[in-house]
Amino acid sequence: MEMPALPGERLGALVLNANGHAFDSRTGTSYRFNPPAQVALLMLQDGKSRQAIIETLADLCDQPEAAVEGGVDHLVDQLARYLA
Amino acid sequence: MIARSRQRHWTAWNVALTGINARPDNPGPGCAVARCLRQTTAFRGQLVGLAYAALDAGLYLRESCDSGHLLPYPATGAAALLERLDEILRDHPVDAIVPCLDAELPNFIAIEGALEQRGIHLLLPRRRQLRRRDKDRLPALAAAAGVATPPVQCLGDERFFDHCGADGWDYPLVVKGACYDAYVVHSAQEARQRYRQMVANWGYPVLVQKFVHGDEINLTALGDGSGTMIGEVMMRKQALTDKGKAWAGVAIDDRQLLEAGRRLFDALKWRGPLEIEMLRDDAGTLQLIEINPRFPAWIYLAHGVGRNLPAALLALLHGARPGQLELAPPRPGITFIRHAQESIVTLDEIANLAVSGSSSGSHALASRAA
Repeated sequence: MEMPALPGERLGALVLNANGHAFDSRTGTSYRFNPPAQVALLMLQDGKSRQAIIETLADLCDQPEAAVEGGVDHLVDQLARYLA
Repeated sequence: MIARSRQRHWTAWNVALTGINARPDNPGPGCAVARCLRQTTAFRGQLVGLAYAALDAGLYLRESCDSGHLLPYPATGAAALLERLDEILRDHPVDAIVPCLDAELPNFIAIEGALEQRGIHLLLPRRRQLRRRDKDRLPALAAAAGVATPPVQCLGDERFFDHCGADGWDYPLVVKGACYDAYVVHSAQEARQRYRQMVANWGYPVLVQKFVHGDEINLTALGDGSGTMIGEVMMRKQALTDKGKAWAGVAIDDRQLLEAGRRLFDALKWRGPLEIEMLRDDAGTLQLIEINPRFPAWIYLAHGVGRNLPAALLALLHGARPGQLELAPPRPGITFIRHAQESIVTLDEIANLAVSGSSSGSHALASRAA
């Protein structure tokens, strides 16, 4: 499955702190990311693929990939909306 | 009048500021400019507050200004302004003046030469630069700078609002004064009311601009006349007063806004402080809404992000080059939140101001923070 394209520059403008607070330095908007979403965001900013993110989270959270991929897709959809 | 020595460092300059009102819905920038200078390391000059109304807070706030003085309204003209300034400066000499209000700038521009002969430093735009960013001339400036802007026109007849839809001017629209105030209007009745209000408060012309929906993002910086933009600070409004002024805002780092600012500074060859107000519309396009020819009321955020632009202005006036200014890298995420507080003013202070036109208490130096 293909991920919706996320604008690289806009994704890079999100600054994540250790508590899951992400600040968009371009728009001044703030977001909250739960722990799995924090991992996914950092991997997205590193240019990692959807499958790589799913595999990593499945391993970290000790969950089947089928359970994880819905969450990853939902996160990416949200990011695509907010960063548009 | 004896010219002031130019050998003192700017941190020892006495500086006069205008715009020291603190109206909650639309405060002037002067008190915030004063705070910026007070926060400047090693600044030990006197701040002389210049106001147009007896209830302008900066006249009495000793943490802002060491003394306060009334000026004649701008409508009385440049000669009256110079005469009053000479009166004030006899007892409160200054090395620089920072005008902070739109309506007074033409008068200060007119007497700039006379003030410089008196040894007073100013960094003001030329009259034609000031005119180029007038609200009714924004489309021409925006075209020259390659920046989008919503259409705007001058109105002389409120009947425009009855048939504007047929001419492609659909509601909502924005009714604006030439210098101050702007209201979003949704009907002919509302538009006519605001139009009459503008005429009563500010006179003609009254302007109408097409409404753009989006987040307002603003940029302030200094210009030295070369076309360079110096020390830019960008902000997105987060909380607004009823007049659309920022009550809270966050520093941002928006490359598009930065580039638009650079093009506008280059097109204007601006001298002095400037504020650029833009909106990012629903299509993601930056639209130029207004250019204000002075520091904005939120200028204290500039100190908060390590780019104290009022201090930088004095340094430029003292001869520093832009590259020598102490300006931190952009710090997006720093937020300002405005609050109102009451000052207690005695009857004697009010009476003294009313009779003499000046307020300066013996407690001035004692109350000013070191």
